[in-house]
Amino acid sequence: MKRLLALLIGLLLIAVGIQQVIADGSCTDCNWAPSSWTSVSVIIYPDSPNYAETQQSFVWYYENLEAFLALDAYYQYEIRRDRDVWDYMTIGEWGDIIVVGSYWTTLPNPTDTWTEEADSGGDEEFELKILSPEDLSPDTWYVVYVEFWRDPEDRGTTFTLWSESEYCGRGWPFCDFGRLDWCVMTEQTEGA
Amino acid sequence: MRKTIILGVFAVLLIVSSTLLLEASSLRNTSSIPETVIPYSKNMGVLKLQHEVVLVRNGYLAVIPNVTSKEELLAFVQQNKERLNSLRDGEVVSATITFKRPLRKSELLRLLGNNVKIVAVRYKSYPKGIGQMPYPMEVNESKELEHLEEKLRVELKEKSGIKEFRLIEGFISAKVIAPKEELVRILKSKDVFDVNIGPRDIAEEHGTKQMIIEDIWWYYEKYVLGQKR
Repeated sequence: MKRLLALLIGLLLIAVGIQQVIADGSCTDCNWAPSSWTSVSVIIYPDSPNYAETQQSFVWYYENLEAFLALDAYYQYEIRRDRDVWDYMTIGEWGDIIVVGSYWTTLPNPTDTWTEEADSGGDEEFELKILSPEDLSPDTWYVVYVEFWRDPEDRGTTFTLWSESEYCGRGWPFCDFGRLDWCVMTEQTEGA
Repeated sequence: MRKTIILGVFAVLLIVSSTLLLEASSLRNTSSIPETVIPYSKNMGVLKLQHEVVLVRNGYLAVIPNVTSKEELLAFVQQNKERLNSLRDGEVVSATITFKRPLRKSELLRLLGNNVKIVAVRYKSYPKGIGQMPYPMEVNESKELEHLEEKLRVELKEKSGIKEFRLIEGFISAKVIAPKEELVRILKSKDVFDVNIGPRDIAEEHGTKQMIIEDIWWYYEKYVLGQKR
């Protein structure tokens, strides 16, 4: 009985491990994700040291966009950090949420309302959700620019920054959790 | 024999649990949406209302309009008008104002007046692009915005062949905090399409007054301006 239990737990761990590897895989292995992308450029201007900017462009060629649209899903672009050193949103003096960052994009019908911050108990991710994915076009380069506020306490340290593409099926309110996947476009070490 | 019985029991348990999991999975794919908060993650729940989706977060609600036709859009705007009128006199609330055309900075400030606190603004770029930034904004004088405009100009020319680019064609919406009377006044302007104070009853149920409300510019452009064009 113990052997059987150990075998089952082992199989379960292998299955979870495989799923994790797939989930955290590169977007080069996902046919629904953008076909090509630039690296994330990070700029901190000396005359504006309280802010850091990221910018990335990506494009779906015909086949990948066709595969994405066949999923009937929302597209989500994310800039994630492994440490709470930059903020897009933060908690104010009276516990109120304050949007301190800004964004600019050519993606259709974007919203930043799914963004989560470690300060407010979530993951550390800027998320731009595209509510009208049917308006995406093939062979069109989309640009996402994000500006974050830099926490003075963490400056001089390093952290990992990565960009992700994600989809979530349409059906339930803006996300059918039964149909969800994501992949990593780029990953880099940055100075906070 | 004992081993066989244990294995048999185990197999039955596996079948039962698989069936239950399959049922749960098919339930998740159903189109019927419960009117209760659906857990999204450990820190967030989602609630579907008639014309909007509400994210119940730690200490605040995020409200995202969800309309699929001009009729739904106009019904949503009417609902928002009724919500605004139902406020007590003098009550101060968060609101998002969607304009009917991209406004210049001076027009935006004149329209909103001195008794309205601007939290953030969304703007439209020419010929494409949408941006959002917190207020106070530094539109002409900001070095950052100048840098950004130049960077994007280069990027758009290189990747999309766009020769003429302006970062801020005009402001399409504003997230504000204001008393009822000011919002009622603003709604009467010919340049304002919608003033949305969000579902305050839901906010109260969840013990918060703070809301981040998305504008309806995209739908206005698609279902109202698009039809005119």
